[in-house]
Amino acid sequence: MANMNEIKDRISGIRDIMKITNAMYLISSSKLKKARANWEAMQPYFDNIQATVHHVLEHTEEFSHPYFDNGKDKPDAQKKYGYIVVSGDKGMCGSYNHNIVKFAQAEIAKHDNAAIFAVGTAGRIYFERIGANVDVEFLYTVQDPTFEKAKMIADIITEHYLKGRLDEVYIIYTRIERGGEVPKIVKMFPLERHRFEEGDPAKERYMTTRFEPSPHAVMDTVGPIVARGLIYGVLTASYCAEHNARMSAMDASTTSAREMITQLSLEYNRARQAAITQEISEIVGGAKSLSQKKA
Amino acid sequence: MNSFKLEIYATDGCFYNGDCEHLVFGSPDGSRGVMAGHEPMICALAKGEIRYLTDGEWNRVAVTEGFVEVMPTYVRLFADTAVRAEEVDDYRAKSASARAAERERQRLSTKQYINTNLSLKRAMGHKRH
Repeated sequence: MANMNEIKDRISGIRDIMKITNAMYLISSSKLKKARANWEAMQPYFDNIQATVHHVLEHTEEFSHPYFDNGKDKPDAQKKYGYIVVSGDKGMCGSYNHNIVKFAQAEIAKHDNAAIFAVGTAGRIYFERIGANVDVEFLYTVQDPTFEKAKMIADIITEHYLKGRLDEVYIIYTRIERGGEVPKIVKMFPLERHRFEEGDPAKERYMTTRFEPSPHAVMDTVGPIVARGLIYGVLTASYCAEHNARMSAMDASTTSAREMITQLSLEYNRARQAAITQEISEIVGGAKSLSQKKA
Repeated sequence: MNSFKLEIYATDGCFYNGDCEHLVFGSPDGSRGVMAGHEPMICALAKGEIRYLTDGEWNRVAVTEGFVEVMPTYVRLFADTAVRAEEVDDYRAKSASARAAERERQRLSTKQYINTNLSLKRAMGHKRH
């Protein structure tokens, strides 16, 4: 039978941890809500951009543009691949970091010539440790996904791509789907013509739209915007997934802490009862032997 | 004066949505003006100041790169950021401080990650003995 004081210590220890896990659960849920609200505020902007790119592509003859065609003619073995891997900055979120890192590693192993741009500390430290080709100057956290940050990241990658330092760029991130957080991969560059969907058919558009100064110049400005939007989207999606994972992890910890406390309280009461019983039988035994002596 | 519908979208939401009589914005090859009934056009937008006329009054807005979609009945302007000309300094200071905060966060984050991992390992070590 365990010592009563030991059990008491454990119960108070577990209770303290439970307070923390519960607080972390609440923090994650409020962060998730805030990120979702920001994300929704941006939707009209990006939906319209998608529609406009679609419009530009549909109403102009096929023209070549670096954003679509850079590095296309290179043989596969010479292509330089870039991977942006979005992981968490911290642990305590179940298998979130483990899943994304394993998924990324499998994807990256497909090509010899791969450079990793890690967003998030957990992923960066992992890839540095296994000796992967990580860009060490590319330092961004995943906390607080703002558009400014997305813009800085997207502009760096866009420059690498336009200067030919990267021929294909993929983003590896996590998205919430039914049944949990799922690692995903999406192509960032080169842009693919068929990917842009026509949104909002209610708005009348004219076939004879002119592109000023030229379709090429319009793509010049729209290309980076699309890239920024994509990065912002994956940062927000990953952020939401991370906090969702943390919420379920913390919820599970709080529940099991509660179960442990119930179990330990039971043990504590048993130990206490046993101690009392023992004490009483000792007293009774002592009294009996005394009275027998007298008689 | 004839008016048309003007919508200005920035990445943090819709900046302006209402009637407008005259819009002036910069494009890569110079400044352009739009009034009601303009021919359909999609035009690249240069970083700088745009002006739009409502009720005889000019509103000045600082924008970054984007594009403008001009249709005879409506005009939509998309820019990464749109800030009232009077608030530009404020906005700049805010972005600068956000950038500094991000650098600091990155530095701290790496340190924290290593520290927590180490203390977790230490704690697990204690537990076993």
